[in-house]
Amino acid sequence: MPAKITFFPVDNGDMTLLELESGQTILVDVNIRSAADDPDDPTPDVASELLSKLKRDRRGLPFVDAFLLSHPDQDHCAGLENHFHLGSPSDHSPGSDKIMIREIWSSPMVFRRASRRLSLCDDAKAFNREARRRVSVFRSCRQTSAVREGDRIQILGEDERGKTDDLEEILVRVDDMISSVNGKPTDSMVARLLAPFPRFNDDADEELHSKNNSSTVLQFSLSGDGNRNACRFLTGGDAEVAIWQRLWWRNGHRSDWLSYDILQAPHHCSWHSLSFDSWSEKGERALVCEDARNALSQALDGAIIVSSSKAIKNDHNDPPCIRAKREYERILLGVRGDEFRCVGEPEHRPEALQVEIGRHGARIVPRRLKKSHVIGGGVIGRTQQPHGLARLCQFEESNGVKRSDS
Amino acid sequence: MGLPVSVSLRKATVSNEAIPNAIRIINEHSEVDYLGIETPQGRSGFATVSIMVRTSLPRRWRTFGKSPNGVRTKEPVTLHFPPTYPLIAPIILLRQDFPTQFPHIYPMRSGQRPMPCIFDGHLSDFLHREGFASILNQLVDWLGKAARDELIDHDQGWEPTRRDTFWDMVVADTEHLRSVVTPRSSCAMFRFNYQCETNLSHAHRWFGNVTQERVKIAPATVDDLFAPPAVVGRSEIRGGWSLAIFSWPSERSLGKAVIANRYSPETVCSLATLRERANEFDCAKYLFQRLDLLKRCMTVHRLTYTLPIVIILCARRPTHLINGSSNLELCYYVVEFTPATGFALNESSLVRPAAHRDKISAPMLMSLSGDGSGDRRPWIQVGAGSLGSKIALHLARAGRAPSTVVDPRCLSPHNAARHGLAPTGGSPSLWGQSKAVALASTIRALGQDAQGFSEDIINVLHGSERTAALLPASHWAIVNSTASLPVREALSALPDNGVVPRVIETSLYARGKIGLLTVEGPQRNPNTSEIFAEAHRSMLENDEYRSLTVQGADVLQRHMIGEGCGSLTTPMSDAQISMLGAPMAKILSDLQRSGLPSHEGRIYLGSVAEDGYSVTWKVLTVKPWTTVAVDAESRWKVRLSADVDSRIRSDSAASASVETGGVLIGKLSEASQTFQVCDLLRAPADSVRTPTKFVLGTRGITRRIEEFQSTDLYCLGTWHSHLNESGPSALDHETAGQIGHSRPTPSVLLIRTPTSYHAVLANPSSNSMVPKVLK
Repeated sequence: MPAKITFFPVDNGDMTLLELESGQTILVDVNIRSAADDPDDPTPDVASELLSKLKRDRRGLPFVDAFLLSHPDQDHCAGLENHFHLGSPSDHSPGSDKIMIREIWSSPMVFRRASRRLSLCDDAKAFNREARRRVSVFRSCRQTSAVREGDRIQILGEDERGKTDDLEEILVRVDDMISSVNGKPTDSMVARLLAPFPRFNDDADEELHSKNNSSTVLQFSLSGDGNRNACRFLTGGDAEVAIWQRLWWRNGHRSDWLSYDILQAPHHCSWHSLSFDSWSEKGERALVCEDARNALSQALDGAIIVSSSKAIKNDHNDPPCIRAKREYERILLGVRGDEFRCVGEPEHRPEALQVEIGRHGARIVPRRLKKSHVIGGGVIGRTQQPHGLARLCQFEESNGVKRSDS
Repeated sequence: MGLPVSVSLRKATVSNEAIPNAIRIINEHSEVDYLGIETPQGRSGFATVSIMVRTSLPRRWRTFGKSPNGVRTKEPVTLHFPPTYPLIAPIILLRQDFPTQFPHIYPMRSGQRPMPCIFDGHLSDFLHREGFASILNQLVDWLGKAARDELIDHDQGWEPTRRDTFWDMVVADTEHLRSVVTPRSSCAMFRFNYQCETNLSHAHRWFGNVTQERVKIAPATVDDLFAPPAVVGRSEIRGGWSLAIFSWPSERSLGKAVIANRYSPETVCSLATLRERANEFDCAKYLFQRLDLLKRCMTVHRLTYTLPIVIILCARRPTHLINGSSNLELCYYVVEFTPATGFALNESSLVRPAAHRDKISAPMLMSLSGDGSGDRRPWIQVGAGSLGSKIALHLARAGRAPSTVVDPRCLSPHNAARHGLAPTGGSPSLWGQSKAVALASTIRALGQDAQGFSEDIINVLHGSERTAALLPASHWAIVNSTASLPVREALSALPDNGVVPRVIETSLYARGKIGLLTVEGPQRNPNTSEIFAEAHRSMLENDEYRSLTVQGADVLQRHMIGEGCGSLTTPMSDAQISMLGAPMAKILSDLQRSGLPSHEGRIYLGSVAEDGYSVTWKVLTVKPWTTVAVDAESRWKVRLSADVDSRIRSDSAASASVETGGVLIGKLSEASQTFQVCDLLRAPADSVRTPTKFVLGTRGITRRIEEFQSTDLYCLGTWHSHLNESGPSALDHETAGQIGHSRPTPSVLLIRTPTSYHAVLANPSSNSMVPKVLK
């Protein structure tokens, strides 16, 4: 059976569903904006689309086998409280269609650094509470096998001051592999934890990493159609240039650890993942950080780079940044991969981008041109369309024509 | 991946306004790039739009720019928009050197650009239903699946081998050929009845039928097998007899039959390529043994004329073929044995793929009708009028034709309005032919055996020897569409001991607004006449049916179709008959498949609503009837419907201390000497009930009896209860005599005792047989 990766259209945000060959699902980040829940709003209804892809358990409740929050920014965790059950699985209220999270993948170090940088949004706080609840469940059981689905957690990266020392059984250290999903070992996936790095002794380094959107960076190896190494998927939340630079320093001698068939362009195709300079200030004069670029250049032949962002325009915006896109296209050029895809394009009808991973590797599932795209209302119903005399009146007024009130 | 050089990338002027719209849709599609348009010189030409389609190859193949089977990362495609677009869909052409080993490519001639079959049906229909965007979506899907070798959808079935050009044609019954395939054998030979056209360059075009007659080759039989050809019809056509060799994969060599699971289009053009193909299907060994033997025989006998030998290879596929249930795919070829070469074949000898046309046969028609399997026993159609002929032809087209058709009448021009058979230009006039014989002849042309008898079934049934021959118990059923009361009577009178099949009746009433299909119960209980009595009673109980039948201007019988002149004078369209006739045929085929009801009779009651075209059907079950013998020496009997039996029992039980009774309603069958009681009238209020006597009153009873007379049901006599097990009393016999004297038809007095029935025949006085003395 092929595996699938779905990048949901969530503007500048991430929401990525991995459907493993085993049938298990891993959701990386979620960005269900309140507008997406409004049936009258044109924002894609990603919650329904996600639900349609999820299996249901014996109680009829939808579930993901694992949920990873790459970092606690709003555009990576919006809608978490609204659409997911947080709390003891037995407290799931009857009649609710909230999604059960069988296992959480959480990084306390990422949270710690984010908290220094900004005040966490409600969804992030709710996630943090849920992660703490699950850790305390584990501490009370002291063995993973005793922890129920819905209470499970894996800790990605050590926390500071030995706070995770007693969590050895559920702790994955940086450079180590995640090889189980929902408490069960799996052949369908292994994921190498590349970041977050443990707390730096040097306060300046620690500060730099906080400011660079410290995120969980994972290199997934996914199997598909019986091929154990059908696809490598590199994803790193909003990690910025200093993190990618350090990743290259740490792993340049074993660059295979950074290789990918699919790269989720970090921070929604932000220039700040490739350069310490500002795109809006320096434009084309901005310099690329070679180490960071090296870390992001380990594309395998025929690789695909996906920007989970708004449509990328030739302007000064960042993210997404047109120059970052050019840089990624250049990377692909060297490996005969010409598949740079932006989930937010075309701008007037963004839709999920799906990649299927079969025996011969990953391929983008062609997007179909739907009937609604051709015979739908277009802007009618999507945006307000002024009609009537207003424009004429404006014209007359600006040309000094007097109007009679009659 | 160069573009066609003729493509113009400049902005073109297109006279067909729909084409720019199509280009806008192309530009909107994420996986398709618009390259340009070449416009026609005049309004009549095709506009050629060039596009580039991304094929979404997996990562490993994208590296090489193409899939292992040759589909590129981006494929150039041209869309030829006809001047009639958007009425007619564009023609889709792939690049000239696009690999052609795929299924779902239209057959093409050498040098033509491949045309993908992106939709199972007419593309123009698809365009109108789904729009141009969906054509692009299908094209993108098609190319992606082609690259991944996924064009065969195993759920949909195995795509038959693509065979592009034919010269010869072979008609053969595929189902029969498949039926001879067994795991332990591998080859069979059949006689081939061929015809041959020879063109100006002396090339032969062979066509003919593979018969089901199996033959063996031996030097001694060659002369018989290959009779010299004779001129057929037009002088340029010769006809004769030859052989078809059918070879299939057996378990003999490898212990299990080889599954040919690799798709490839037809490759055979010579003996060498035939050998390769036969090896691929694992049917080469015995085929070539037969060919060698054939060559030796022909050489010995020094035949002087060229012979076509048909070769049929059978591939065992991993799944069923598209639109079929079998996984055996048959491929037909023709090879010529000619005296010019001494009947020698070498590896470069020409072998031509031959077109195959299936012989019309019951299995083929059943398959096309979506009819998997079921009881296909022979059956008899009585009545080949407008309703009977339609039912028989519907079932014949579904492979379930009657084996016998009986109807004494001939076709007349007025039958043109409604009969299932229609005159054709070239054939002898239909008018004057026997309906039964003509219908049977058409059924035979539909590949099924049928005999027509231009006889009245009543006369046939009178001759006991012929009855057994015509209506053997092994037949599935007798379907009576005559709507003739005498025929129904005659069929009801048939024995019920299992020596004749059960009777089904079909009839229309009320100018084709009501249809009735009745099925006898097991052991013909209830029989067709009894079921009809119950059907009439059911119709009378329903306001809608009653208003259509009884309260209309005419009584039921005058609207029956097929009964004498009634049909001639009743104005009704062919379509009106089909509205209920087609569902009747469907019911019959379902009954053939599922079997006749095992515990009861059945009534299917169809009606056309007031709007004139909405049709609804109800199904009623009829429980077996009870038989009561009348007197010891009489052949008369009383038959009680389950409902009547139940009502009499309950009324008697409720009146435990006094006798009670009522009036019997139903029909009389003089032919079978049966009183068929299907309803009761309660005793009127002025009736008298005592422990030893029941006196049937008179108040209102005459009016109620007369009400029934406007239908097909009428008074048959009376019933009353006895409080003990005594049989008919002297009083009963006396009353029977009085009733008998009072009416010219036989009547019956039915007596219900606590545990059983008795019956007294109230026959008209024997005095009625004495001629009146004329004064």
